[in-house]
Amino acid sequence: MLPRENPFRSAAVDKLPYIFLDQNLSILQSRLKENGGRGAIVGPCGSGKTTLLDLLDQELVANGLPVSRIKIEHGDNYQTLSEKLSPATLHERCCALVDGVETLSRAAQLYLMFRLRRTEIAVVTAHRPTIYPTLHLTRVTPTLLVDLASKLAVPLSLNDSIALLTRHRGNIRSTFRELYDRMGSVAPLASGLEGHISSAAGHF
Amino acid sequence: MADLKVELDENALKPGETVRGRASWELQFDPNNIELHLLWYTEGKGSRDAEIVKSEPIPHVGPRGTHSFAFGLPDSPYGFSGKLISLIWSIELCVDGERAVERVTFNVAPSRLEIILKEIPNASPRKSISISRG
Repeated sequence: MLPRENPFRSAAVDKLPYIFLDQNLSILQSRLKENGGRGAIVGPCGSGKTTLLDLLDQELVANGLPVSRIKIEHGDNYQTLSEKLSPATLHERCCALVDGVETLSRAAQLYLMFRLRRTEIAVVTAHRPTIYPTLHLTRVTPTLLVDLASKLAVPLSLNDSIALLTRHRGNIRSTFRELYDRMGSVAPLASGLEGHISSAAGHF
Repeated sequence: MADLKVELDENALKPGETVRGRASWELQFDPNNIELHLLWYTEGKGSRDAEIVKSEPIPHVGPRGTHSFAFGLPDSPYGFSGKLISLIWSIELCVDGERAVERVTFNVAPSRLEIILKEIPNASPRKSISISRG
């Protein structure tokens, strides 16, 4: 199968929605409100934290709120953090969505909290609980993987899903990479290149 | 609702040739701007890459209309599929940024056919090298 036909190509995987297992976006938003607009989405690597942050981003934008997205990278220090949290990025009264806080030390998290004090909303993602109250725990189950694969029109058995998630330690992103390789060894579907891709909002 | 259409005269071209076609739109709102893009992008495993090679704003747009276009193609890159990625050429019709988008794909290669990169059968596997400090 050619990369452009592969159901697990990143363009298709990135469009998959976040699926709540035990609550919904309204509950998350209520918890956020109860906590004064502060909170964390916590979960292991590849469990959907960024996907959920994207969903929250869309919801805030749909409600007419200005959103600033900040990505914390490995190796970020006070100086790089200060640049990322500059007034140009972080408008007063904006909603700050900060991804990857687990790489920051406790002291750097406190600095982040200080810099976000004037924002209307501040939601962070991390692998472990942070100084912000935990709003939602992301996790992956074998049934969820079966469900997501079916959204990509790929039937996956529950046993296969269990084996995959065990091998990838619950990381759905790396599981999709293995499934991409598996599908890649299947014969190509089409030889010609002619197609139409429509989108009401956004591409790539 | 937006009804967008992009039609190409040919969907397999050589580098340096001109891709011609027509774009049409029927919208339930008055758009601020409509633009055509000639671009390539990659699809497959991992991060994606894309480049808008040329853009053409369509002047005096209304809720419905048609527009003929012609874009000269550059010498590269060629459209191809390997194991990890496919490189795809496209004409894209965008209404008010990304409010509504229609994309039609085509191939660009010297033979006009998509280049399929195959694995080298006798390629030696990667060897690991260990460096010891003496």
